[in-house]
Amino acid sequence: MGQCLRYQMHWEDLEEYQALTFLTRNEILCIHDTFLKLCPPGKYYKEATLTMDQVSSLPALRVNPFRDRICRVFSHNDVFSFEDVLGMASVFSEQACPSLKIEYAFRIYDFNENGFIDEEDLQRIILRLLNSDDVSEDLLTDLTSHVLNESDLDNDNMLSFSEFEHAMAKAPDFMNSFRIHLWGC
Amino acid sequence: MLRQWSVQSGQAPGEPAGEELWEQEMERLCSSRVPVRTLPYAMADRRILRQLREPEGVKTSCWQRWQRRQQTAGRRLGEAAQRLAQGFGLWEGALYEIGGLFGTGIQSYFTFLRFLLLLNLLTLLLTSSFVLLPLVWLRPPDPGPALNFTLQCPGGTQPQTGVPSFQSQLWSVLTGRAFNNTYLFYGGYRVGPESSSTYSIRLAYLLSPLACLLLCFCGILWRMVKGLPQKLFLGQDYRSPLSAKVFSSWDFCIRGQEAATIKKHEISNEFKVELEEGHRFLLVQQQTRSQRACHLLTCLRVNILIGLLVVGGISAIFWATKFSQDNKEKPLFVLLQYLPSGVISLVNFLGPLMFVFLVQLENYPPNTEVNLTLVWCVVLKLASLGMFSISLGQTVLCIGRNKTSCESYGYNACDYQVCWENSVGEELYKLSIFNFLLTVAFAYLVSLPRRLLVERLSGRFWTWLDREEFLVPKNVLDIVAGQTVTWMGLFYCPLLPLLNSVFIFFTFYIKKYTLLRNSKASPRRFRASSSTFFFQLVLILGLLLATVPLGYVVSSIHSSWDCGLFANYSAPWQVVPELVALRLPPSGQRAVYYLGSHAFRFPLLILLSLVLTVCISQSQANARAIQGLRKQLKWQVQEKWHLVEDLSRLLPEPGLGDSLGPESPHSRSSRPRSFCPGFPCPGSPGPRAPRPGPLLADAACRFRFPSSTDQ
Repeated sequence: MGQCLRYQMHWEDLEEYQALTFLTRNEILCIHDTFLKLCPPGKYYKEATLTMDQVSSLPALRVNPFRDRICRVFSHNDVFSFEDVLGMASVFSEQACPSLKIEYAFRIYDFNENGFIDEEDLQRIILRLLNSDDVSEDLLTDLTSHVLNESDLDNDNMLSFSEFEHAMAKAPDFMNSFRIHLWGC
Repeated sequence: MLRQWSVQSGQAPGEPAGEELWEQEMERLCSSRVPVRTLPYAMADRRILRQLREPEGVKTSCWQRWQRRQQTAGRRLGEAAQRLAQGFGLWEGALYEIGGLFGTGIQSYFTFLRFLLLLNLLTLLLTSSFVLLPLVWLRPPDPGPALNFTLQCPGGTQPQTGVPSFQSQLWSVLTGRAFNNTYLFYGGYRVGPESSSTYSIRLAYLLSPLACLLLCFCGILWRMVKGLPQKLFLGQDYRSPLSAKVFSSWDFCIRGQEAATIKKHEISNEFKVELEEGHRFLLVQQQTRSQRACHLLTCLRVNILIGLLVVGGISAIFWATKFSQDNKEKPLFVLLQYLPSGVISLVNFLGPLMFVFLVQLENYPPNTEVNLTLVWCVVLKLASLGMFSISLGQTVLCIGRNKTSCESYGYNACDYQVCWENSVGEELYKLSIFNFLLTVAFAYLVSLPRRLLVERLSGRFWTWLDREEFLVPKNVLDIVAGQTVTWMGLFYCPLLPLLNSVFIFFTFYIKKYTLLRNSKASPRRFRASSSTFFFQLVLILGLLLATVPLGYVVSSIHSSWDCGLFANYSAPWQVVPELVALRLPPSGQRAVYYLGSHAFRFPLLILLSLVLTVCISQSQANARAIQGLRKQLKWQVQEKWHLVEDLSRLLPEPGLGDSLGPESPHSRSSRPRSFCPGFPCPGSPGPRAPRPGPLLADAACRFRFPSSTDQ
């Protein structure tokens, strides 16, 4: 199903992608293969697009509670081109720099897309992180108020990017956990 | 991006200021030297930026092209070196699989195994290239036959009782006797007296364990520091705050549905525990002094009890080692050979169970329970190994007791006529083998049957028993103990790292099999970051524990008279002064003596203290600066809202409010506007902010604070 034309990619393109992303050569080729398997047959990979559902159902993202946000942040006009997928893989790769990861994490967690992580966003994040039967109203409000007390430095009841970045600096786990290795190869 | 740009200017014809802002931003991005791939824009935008920075039409000089090639080559080399440092990409697939199924906490144990394998191989490389290869290549002449000594010993040594030949073959391999004269043990190395021109194998043999330990120390320290969060110690809180946990809890590498459910349970447990700890902390702070004293006493009570248990455990180890050494040649040596190892393993098996039971009797918060049990397990493990080496020291070297046989030669020559270093090496060799065999036995004789029984049989007992939990701390302690034994044995058994590497290699696969088939994930979360720090810390403690006996033996203990490299020296370290006198010119000798003298050590110590003082005061000043900056931030924001309220009072009509919005960020924000979707453009409406008037909610949402990403 789908053509598995390996090395449809030209050498110069590969070099360019290596310079523009944090991915290694093997990773780029791997993603290229996966992309070709999923896209409709016969299309040149630079023109083909994937729907958000197709990307959401990749094994790497299938059980991720934030997969809809990830797809929304990295897609353009609700579809994924090959370069969009590469951009996504680059942010989640091991070699990516912390500033890039923090920037995209902020966008992913900003559910209502107003440029801040406010109470509503926090509640939605917590609901996604826990099983539905584990959550009580008290826990939710307690957690939200704790988080805002700790990280909201300017007392406006929401987290701006700087405050988010500052909070992430104290989370040594972040670089380890915000990582996706294999994209379905 | 250019498309969006024109759309932007098209949408708001009355804001030339907005377009100016884009231009400024583009100029800033083009002129900055930040690599393009670190910028948070879409690939097409990054490509345009890259072309703007280095337009293709412009002729680049040879020098620039060469420079660029060097940069790419340098970057590739850096990436390759990083991969090498992480272990040649060994086991990458297996690590990803484990991470995907169980999360990064358990994956960190297996990454740690890979790191230890690397350390052992490095040690082996160092030893073989500086000691073994020259020995094999140069083939120094054998020294003359050993001098005969007459000893006054109580009783006589009994000959070994006859055992069937096959069993004795296997037994001599397991006890190490078969390798007595090979390069595995100290006794197999023989070299003639020192001369002034040839390569000194003695010096290499002496210095390579010390160099290996130093290298391992630096490697572990470097990894430890790399894993530390950057600003952990500057803030008020020592633990990572709840906000950070909320945002970094989810392991994005998880792939299995079951693992996701388990992870969600873990996260909810962790949040509940954190909130409970927070409440408890507040309660504790409100306690009166007498209540606090009471609390302290109950803390002490359980700790003293556990301390007594630990003391009891290690005395058992002491007696077992002594007994085994005193009865080395008796017929029942089957049990006695492995008695110390057996007792150590038993103590370390029963100890944690009792600690858990005792700690749970007190009403501690869950985190404290876990930490306390862990600390005591570490203490028990390291104390067992320490006591083992002290006990060996007592029997072999008469440390701390008077025995006539030790007086003439400095070691217990009656019982260890041939080679005491070999005996010590054999003990450590046996301990290493026993640990590995125990791991294998537990995996296949305990976990596997347990899983089979739990699956096949039904009944309340079997459902209660359930599969084994994969406890990361316990496994880490085991492997660290094995590594400490290897480090202890570097001087007596130089090829022990080779053995340990083989053991670690097989342990990886055995543990992976146990994890994937016979275990269930523990409901208690073990965070990857703090756990990595904890592993490295315990490893460093083990290394220090191994260094102390080595240092003592090398500097003060007389080697065996008729075996090994240091037969005629009062202590192995005496080779160094001899070689210095033999090989260096007088000025060199003076320099070396100066380096070893007090006149050098004291100024060095004073200098180091000064540097430490400067570092500490700098970090304190930084902490104060951070406090000041936080206060300034709060005042600035209050001022902002004050101005916004003033503005809303002054404006007559609500309609004008919107047009002022996009201009105001001009003076305040310098955060790069993003051209990607999922991020608001200045013209988009935002939600209602609670405090200011509803008309200016939009304007308020567009304020950005200068971020620190503009490096």
